[in-house]
Formats: sequence, structure tokens, C-alpha cells
Amino acid sequence: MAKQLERPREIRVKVNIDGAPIGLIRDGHSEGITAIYEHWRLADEWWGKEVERDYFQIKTTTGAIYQVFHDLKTRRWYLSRIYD
Amino acid sequence: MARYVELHCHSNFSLLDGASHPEELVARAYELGMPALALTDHDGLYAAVTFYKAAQKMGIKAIIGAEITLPDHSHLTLLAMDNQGYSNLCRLITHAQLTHNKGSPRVDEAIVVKYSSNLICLSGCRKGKIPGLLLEGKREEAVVRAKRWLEVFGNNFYLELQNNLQPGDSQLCHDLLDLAKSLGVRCVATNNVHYATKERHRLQDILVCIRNRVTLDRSSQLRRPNAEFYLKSEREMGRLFSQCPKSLENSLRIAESCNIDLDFSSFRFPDFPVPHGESVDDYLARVCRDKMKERYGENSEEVEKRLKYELDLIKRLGLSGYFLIVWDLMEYCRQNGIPAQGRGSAANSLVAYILGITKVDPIKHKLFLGRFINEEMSSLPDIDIDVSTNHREQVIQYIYKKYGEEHVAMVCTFVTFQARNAIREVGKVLGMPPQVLDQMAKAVGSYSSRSIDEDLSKLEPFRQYVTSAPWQHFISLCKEITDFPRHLSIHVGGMVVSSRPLSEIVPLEKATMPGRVVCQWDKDSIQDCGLVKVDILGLRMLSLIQDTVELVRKRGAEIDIDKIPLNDEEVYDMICRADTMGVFQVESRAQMQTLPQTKPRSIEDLTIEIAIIRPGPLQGNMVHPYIRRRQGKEKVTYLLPKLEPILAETLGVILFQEQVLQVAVAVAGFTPGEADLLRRAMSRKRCYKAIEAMRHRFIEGAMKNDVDKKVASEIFDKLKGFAEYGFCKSHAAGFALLAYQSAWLKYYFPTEFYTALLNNQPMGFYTPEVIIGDAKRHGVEILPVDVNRSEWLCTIEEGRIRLGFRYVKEMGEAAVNKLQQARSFGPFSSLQDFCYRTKLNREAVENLILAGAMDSFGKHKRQLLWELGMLEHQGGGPMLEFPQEQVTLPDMTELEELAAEYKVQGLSTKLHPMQVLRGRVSRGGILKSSDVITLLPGTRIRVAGYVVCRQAPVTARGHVFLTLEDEDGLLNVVVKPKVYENYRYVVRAEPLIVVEGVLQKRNGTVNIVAEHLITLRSERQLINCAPNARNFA
Repeated sequence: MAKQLERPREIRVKVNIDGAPIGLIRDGHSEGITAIYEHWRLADEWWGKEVERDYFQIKTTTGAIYQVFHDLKTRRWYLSRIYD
Repeated sequence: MARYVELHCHSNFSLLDGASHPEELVARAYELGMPALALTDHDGLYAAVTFYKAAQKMGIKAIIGAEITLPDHSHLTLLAMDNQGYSNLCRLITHAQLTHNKGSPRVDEAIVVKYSSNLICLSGCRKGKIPGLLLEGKREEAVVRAKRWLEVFGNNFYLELQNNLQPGDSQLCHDLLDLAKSLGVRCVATNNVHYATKERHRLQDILVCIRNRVTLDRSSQLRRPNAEFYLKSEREMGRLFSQCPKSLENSLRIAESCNIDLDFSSFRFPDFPVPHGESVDDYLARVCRDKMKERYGENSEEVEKRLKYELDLIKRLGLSGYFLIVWDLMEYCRQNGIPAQGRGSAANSLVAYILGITKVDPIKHKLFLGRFINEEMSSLPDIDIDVSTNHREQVIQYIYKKYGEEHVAMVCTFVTFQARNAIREVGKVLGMPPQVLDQMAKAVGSYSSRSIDEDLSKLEPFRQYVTSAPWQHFISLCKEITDFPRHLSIHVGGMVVSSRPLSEIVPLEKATMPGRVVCQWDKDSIQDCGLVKVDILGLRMLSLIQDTVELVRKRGAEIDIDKIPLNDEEVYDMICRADTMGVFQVESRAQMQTLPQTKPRSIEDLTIEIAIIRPGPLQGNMVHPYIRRRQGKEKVTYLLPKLEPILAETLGVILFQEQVLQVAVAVAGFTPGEADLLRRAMSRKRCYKAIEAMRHRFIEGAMKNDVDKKVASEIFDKLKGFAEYGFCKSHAAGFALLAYQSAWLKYYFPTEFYTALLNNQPMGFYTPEVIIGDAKRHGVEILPVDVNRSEWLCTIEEGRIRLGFRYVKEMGEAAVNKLQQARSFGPFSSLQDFCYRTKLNREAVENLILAGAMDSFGKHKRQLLWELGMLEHQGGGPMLEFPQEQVTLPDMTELEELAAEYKVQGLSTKLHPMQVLRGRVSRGGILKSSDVITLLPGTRIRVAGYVVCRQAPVTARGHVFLTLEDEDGLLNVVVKPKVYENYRYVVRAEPLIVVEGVLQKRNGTVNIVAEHLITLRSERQLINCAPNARNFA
């Protein structure tokens, strides 16, 4: 089961040269990323409030599985989903 | 050189899906360093030739393929390895298109198997069967399907990996790789490309919405989730497929194995049967020599020389068979009494003239052959044939029968997005209000949406919005969508004939007309791949001329229309008076305004007259200089002395396409072939870049010939401004002949001429109602429809025209047949008798009463209607049982009768509405058209009438021209832009108006320059069904 966060929470993420996440800081604790299960891109609503995001489903060193996204417009990272 | 080739790529010929022109995709592939590129549009090869040519030009290999649809709606990507594979692909698509409903092509698996050789098969996008099954978690079924394709295609089967960064793509690639490993199948990476560059994803969204008829806001499930479907570089693809670099290498390997050539010139036309031992060349030469004697008599050195030159050229170009085929077709027409004549540039050819394909003598008219054929022909010449509209289908059927259904198809044409439909459709998807879009579409002046921002910023209601952000989206999308194909349609007359079954050369599909088949290429593609097209165009004027001659014959006079004297002064006098309503090509308002000024007195003059009132010369500002020079008001000058021999016949201005070629040869040293390329570039769509490249070459060539750069540039601009819509002289000469013939018939046999004109409607510039007015002014009497005398068509009765039933609403051909059958037992004696014997429905009988068709029964119309109402209805038709009760009703007033006639037949044979309304409008000093003739120019006058034509040509820079008709004749009204702004609605929509303005008389033409326009709405309401105006751009 996955829990969708009510509002995506901003997080800090460390990326590699290709822009893929390799580590993140959540609630002040840093976690390394051990696997990227899925990566997809959303680009929509260009005629209104344009959205452009890179989504990643990742596993971290704590064993947690998250869905995070990188807002390509603001260049900020968010946690949007936590998998049980 | 990139180590990746895109093998799955849709152009905008994947209609309402792909968002880049084929040329744009090729250009981007070139930038990315791809050595090759595949085109895989949905179920079609519409763009194959365009793509192939574009790729050839850029030095890239073109791979031709298609994404076909299987009966379960799944997709499969197929690529042709060679010409055999290409033919198989054509057959596959043809089968899919012809055996399923129009618009839903499906290829059955058995057909894929049958035509699988020499094709590479890729497993397809997410809509492919194998990826689809894997996405559903049905791996076993996917294995079965993959094994099946492996069995069919062997080593030519590849699993297609796509990662467009959609949710699930990485997993799907992983599963496909796994499947590949377990089955020993190779994988290839593709990107399911739908546009050349990322920015075009917006337009792709728009296209998807147009296709699904939804707005953007409501289309999230239909659109792609991101903008990743563009042509990606080797590096980008390498990053996406880092787990399987082999899949990129395989794309190169496939590209290397695909090699096709789209030159079908060796199949261009069926072998023409010739006598044993003779070649087609010899046969053509013999036929021409025999016929030459018939045309020219013996010993004409000039003719001999030209014939020899043409025959040699035709032989070298391998066109003898083509000429024989067209000759055979014309012979068929001749033997069957079908009026037909070759049009267009073919009339430059002596061979065409000798064979009776064309009717204009190229020697006498000094026609330049290079416009038709030349040594360096980059494409085949076109022979277009005008056939009487009534016989067009018969001729088409002859071609099908002669060469076999498999070898003949109609050429297609693509309806493209231009300013008006772009505004409507893009705007609708963006959710803009329909009334705003409607207003904008009607107001925008240009045909193309390329300059839509400039257009809109000039229009008051929209100016303020143009710079706002949402409108910027709208405007840029309208510009981007310009020239995109919207849907396929059938070309007006183009037929392609080939020696090889066409379904092996180009896919065929169903046309809208039942039983008709159309090929997937337009005329440019047909030409570019070396095939031949014959245009069979329906021309109503040919029917009209034949009908008139036939009517004249009925009254006992024989006319050989091809042998009438071409120098009849009285006929030219009539033309110079602009008394030309109904006369071919010179009846429009613009022509009528020009004729009194140019005063044509010969076929040569008429040829110029026809060529001059065209958008080309108008846009190129050539009309007024010509008229001034013709009138001796301006000196004839030439930009260069060497232009004199070329332009002398047109007094120094460029009027004919042939002159464009000759100027390019003389000024810039072009060869005739290059010059023809220049003309073609100028007359084709999407060719701005090509024209600019030509400009460079032109100016360079001219400078080498010691022509000043500025002068060269000026000449080039003149050529450019003209070439797009100009006529070729030979075409104009062919039309001039028809113009003269129709004028001659109008002058000498007006009754027969007007009868035929009324029987061939709709045609030409004027409505039947206006034609009847003109006939009356020429002393021809028109009788109303009569149940005891009329036929389906109009007939001649003791020198008067009897209106036919075809003009009465509800009187279709079936109803008229019923009536005629009943009448064959004797004339009808009463309404009751009529109803009893014909059993026509009530509406038809009522309309006949109102049209006056039963006036001969001696009762007035209201009485007859009352009696009809009292008849009981049985079995759908009014029956006997006549009422006992009789009442006396007042007769209809003149106005009521007139209104009734307009209602049921759109015209009145007796009265013009203005005759009836005159009493009501004359109080305000309103003059009749006949009064205006005697007044002095500059007089301020008021006139009233029905608007019969409205014209706002682009070339008139905002002027609108109205033709008003009153009981005495026509009046020309000029509405200047400022006046138009104040009276826009009255000008555009009101049928009955008063115009106040200043009388202008110049060079034999009379115009009223409008200052005020007033609608006569209350008068108009008295006759509800006003004559319909014809609107022209």
C-alpha cells in the first residue's frame, strides 16, 4: 500500500551527473538511495499553470520506498508518496 | 555520424496525430547526424515520396515503413527492406483499407503472413500486441505472440523497446528484454516519434484534441503525459537504454538492411497496343505525320521542323506511349460525341494539336514548348482534359475498362489547415468562445494562417488581445498548424494509370463516393515518383456549348462549332460592350469592368483578357499598366531590351507562365528545364525556401549576363508575384476559344444559349434569376412552368423558353417521370384530373400551383390551393372525392404571386421584385439602372436593388464590390474600405438595399461609389424569399 501525502513535502536531494537522485534528507536525517525502480516525466497544462516534473520511485538505505519528484520549473524536490 | 537511427517516426501524415512535416523530421535527423530515418505513419504511405525526396536532398537514407493496425486494434511496425518489401507493404495497406470501413483500416493476420517477405517487423509501441500483453501481466500470451511473428518474419523480427518516460516504461523495457533473451530475439530501441522537436508537443496535444473533438481541459486521458516523443539524439537515447546498448546498434543494422528506390517511371503507363513490328515511337510518328497533312496540308517547313523536334524529344523522354493513351481517350470522346479538349500547357505541343488532344494551333499562336516538355524534364508533363460535365463519369469508366481496375485510381488531395479552419479548430480546443472564433474566421483576410498575427492586429475587435499570453499560444499554434493535412479528399479529376498493378506502387483506399478508389498520393507525389496522371475535369461550359448546338440543330440549323469564323466583328462588339453574362471566363464583374477598356478584337486579345483578370497579374500589379498601354496612355517599355521579344505581345508586362520561363532563360541564363523548376517552385505550396534559393541563382545568373543586381531583383519579384496563380498562355488560348464560341452562340442564338445556360446550372457567376433577367433584356421571352408543356429541363416553345420542372422545389426527377408518364395518355384538364393521374405528393402539387404551372386550368392560384386542400388523401397522394362546397376566394396580389414564385422556384418568369417595389421606394428620388446611363459622371445619385453578387477580392485591398439588380439591369457599386467599416453588416448580409453615392464613368464602365447604404428591410419582408446573392472572395 502506498500513502499519498496530502501535500508534497519539500525535501533536499543529492543528484548524480545525469540528474538522478542518489541521496536525500528527510526530517533532518539523510538517507542514501539504493535503487530507482521507476522514473517518469510529467509535462502538462502548458496552456495554463504549466507542470513539468521528473518522478522517481526509489528505495533508500533505511529500506523505505518513496515517490519523489523534481519540479523542473522551480528546481525543487518533493516527497509525494510513501510506500509501506 | 550518429550511432542511432530512428525507426519509428510519425509525420503529420499520421493525420491529426503527428505534429511535424516530413521535411522537418528529415531536417532534424540531419542535424542529429543520423545516417537514415524511417517514416512509419499510421496505415498509410501518404508522405512516402515527400519524405523520400527530402531525405535524398539532405543525403540521408529514407526508410519507408508504416505502423499498421491489426483487427484487435493493436499496432505493428513494418519497414520495407527493398522494393519487393515496399510492394508488399503497399498491398498490405491496400487490403486493410479496401476490405474495412473507410477510416478504420485493419490488416488481417493472414494478409500479414502472405505479404511478409522482405519486410522488417518491429513489435510496436505500447499499443502493440506484445507490449500490451506484458503491460497486462500476460507474459505467456506475449510469448506465444512473439513466437508467431518470429515464425513469420524470422530474423527480421525485432522486439521494439521504447522509453518515453511514461509511468511503467522502464518496467516494460525490462520485460521486453527478458522476453527477448528467453526467445533469442533481437531488440531495437525506438522513440515512437510524433514531432521533430520537443516544443511541438503542444501542437500534438492540439491535434489529439481536434481528432477526439474535446477541449484541452477535458483531454487528460487522451493526451500523452509528457513531451518526450521527439527525435532524440544518440546521446539521449543512449542514456535511456544504457542497460541495452545493443538495441541502439541494432537500429543501425536495420537501417543498413533497408534500401529502396521510389522511382516508378518504368511502370509509368500501360503498353499501348501498336501494329505488329512497329514501336510506340514509330507508331506515334506515323499517326502524327498522317494527321499533320489533314491539319496543315503538304509542305509546311516550319510545321515539319517543329514536329520532328517534338517527336524526337518525346521519344527521348519515353513519352510516346503517354501521348497515344491520351490520343486514344480523345478519340473515344470524339467517336461518342463527348465534348472534350486538352487544357493547360499541353496546348503548347504541336503533337497534341495534331492528335486532336488540344484545339489551339501552337504554331499560329507562337506557343513556347518548354512550358510543357523540355530536355531536362524533372517530371512528366501534364495533359489535362476538360470533358463536358455530363459525360465525365462515362470517360472515367472508359479508362477503368480499357486499362483494368487494378491499374487505375483517382489521385488524392489533402485538405490542409489554413487561416479559417485553423482559427476555428485550434480556438475550439483552447476553449475560446465559438462566436469570437466565428467572427475572427470571417474577418481574417488571408488564406494562410502564416501571418495571422498581423491580420488580427489590424482588426479592431481583436487588436487588444493579440499580445496577451493565452492569445500568444493561440496565434503561434495557428501558425504552426499551417499547411498540415487535415483529411484526405479526392482530386477533382486526376487519375493515375500504370502498367503495374497500382496496389504494388501506392496503397489504395476507399473514397467517399461508393465504389470509387483513391490512391494515397497527391499529384505532386505521383509526379515525383515518375508516374503519370491524366486529369479528367468536368467543364460545364462544354456541356453548355454542346446543348446549345443541339437545340439549334432541333430548329433545323447545323453548326460545326469548331469551324465558326473567329473574326466576327459583331461578336467582338458584344464582348467589348461587356454584354457577356453566361460567356465563358469573361462574365465576372471584374471582366465586365475590363472588357470596355481593353476592347478585345481577336482570339489573341481574348487570350490575354482571360489571363489578365487573375490573382497572379493582379497581385503583381500588371493589370493597370497593361490596360494603360493597350489604350495608348502609357509608353510600352521594357526593364531590359532583351525582354522585348518575349513581352512584346503583352505590351511589356508579364501575363503568361511561358513568359516567366522565357524571361528566366533570357535574363539569368536558366535552361528551359531550370526555368520550369522555378515556375514549379513558385506554383507549389510550401516552397518559400525553394523560391529564395532560386532568387539567389537568378540574380547571380543575371549579373553574369551584365544585368544590374537591382534590376535583376526587380524582375525576379515580378516573376514571383505573378507565378503562383498565373495562367499559361496555351491554357488561356484554349479557354479563349471556348469564350469566343459561347459568345458567338449567345449573339446568334440567344434563345438556345439561355436555355442551355439555365439547364446547366449551377455554373458561372450568376444565379438563374439574374440570367433570366439578362435573357429578357435580350428580347428572349420566358414562359412559366406548365404541367401540360414543361419537361424536366427548360425547352424552347415557338421561340420562347419554357421553364423546366427542375426549377420547382419538390419536383425531383422521379416526380417528373411520374407526371410525364401520366401525361403520355393526354393533357391534364383540371387539378382534380392532374392529382388523380399523377398521384404526386401534396407539396409538389402545391408548388406547381404557386409556380403558375396550372394557370392554364383557368382558375387562379388561391382557388386551386383551396380545392387541393379539399381533396382527400389516400395512399400518399390526393384522390378523387371532390367536395361539393365551392367558395369564391380573392385572387393573389401581384406581390403575393411574386413572393410565392420566389418561394417555390427561386425566381419569377414574369416580374422582377423591384418592378413591384418601385412604387414604394421611388419617393426618395431613387433612380433606375436605365436612368443612370444618361447622367453625367460626378452626379450624386440613389439607386435600389437586390444584391446579386458580392465580391471582396484580396487583391482589392479592402474594397467590396456589389452588383445590384433592378428591373432594368445591373448596377456596379464600389464600397471603399472606410464606408465598408460603417456599413459592414448591410454590405455583407442585406439582400435589398438603397445605395447613395457618386456616379463614376470611366473608359466605358459605370460604377457608383457608395457613400451611404440603407437596408430596405420592410420592403424585403414583403417578398420573403429574396434572390440569393453569390459571394466571391
